[in-house]
Amino acid sequence: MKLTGPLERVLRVFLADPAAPRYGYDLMKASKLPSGTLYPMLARLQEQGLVSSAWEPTEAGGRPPRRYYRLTDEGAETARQELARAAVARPDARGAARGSTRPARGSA
Amino acid sequence: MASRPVIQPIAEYLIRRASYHLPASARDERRREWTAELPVILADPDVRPRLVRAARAVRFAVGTIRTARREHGVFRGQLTGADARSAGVRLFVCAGLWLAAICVVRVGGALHLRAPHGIWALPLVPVGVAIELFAGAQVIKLVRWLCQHD
Repeated sequence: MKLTGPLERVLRVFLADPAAPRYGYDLMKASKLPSGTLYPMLARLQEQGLVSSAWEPTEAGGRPPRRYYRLTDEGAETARQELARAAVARPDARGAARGSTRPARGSA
Repeated sequence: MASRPVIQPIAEYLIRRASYHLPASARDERRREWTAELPVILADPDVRPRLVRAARAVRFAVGTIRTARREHGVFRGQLTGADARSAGVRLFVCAGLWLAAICVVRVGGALHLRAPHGIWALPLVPVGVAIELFAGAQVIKLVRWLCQHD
């Protein structure tokens, strides 16, 4: 996995609460990425088995069901390793290597 | 839920356009997924005023077109028989349009009608180029499909 800036932001958002399922717009807001960047990334992560997705079981509040994404166990492990590696490579981001869930630069 | 915002059908139309770029197997699911995000974007309480939410919804929908093209553009993705059939039909329509244009010019010439010239002919140039490019993309898709299913 090549850790690009946008991918790093998405992984940090997921790792803030690895068990929590996140829907597309929620991820977009948290990572400050446009849909044209986020969705191809989610598709790639899903192909690699790092992210799984599931549909909301029922309609809620009169809106159509949404698709939720979450990191798989393997995905969470890989994400932590990649972020730790990136933090070692960049001394100013050591906080992330210690398991901090501080959002990446420019994120909410 | 409150009444449907005016911008929603426009964003839904853009998402439908985006889904046409996807293979038939994934089209419906992705369209449902992206369309389901629109009410959330348009009702986001963190974003004010309403105009900004509308702009976000359109930006989201335009982004789905980018997504579809990135994943399954002319040069990307696995093509199914249905994709090849649609490419064939589109190519046939393009050829028909060109044939019709040639017929109109020929008939016009035979009837001694003046062909559009000067500024009146200008809009025909981008239309012709667009049809050519579109037809070219369909040919590439068909060739790719043939290579994938050789």
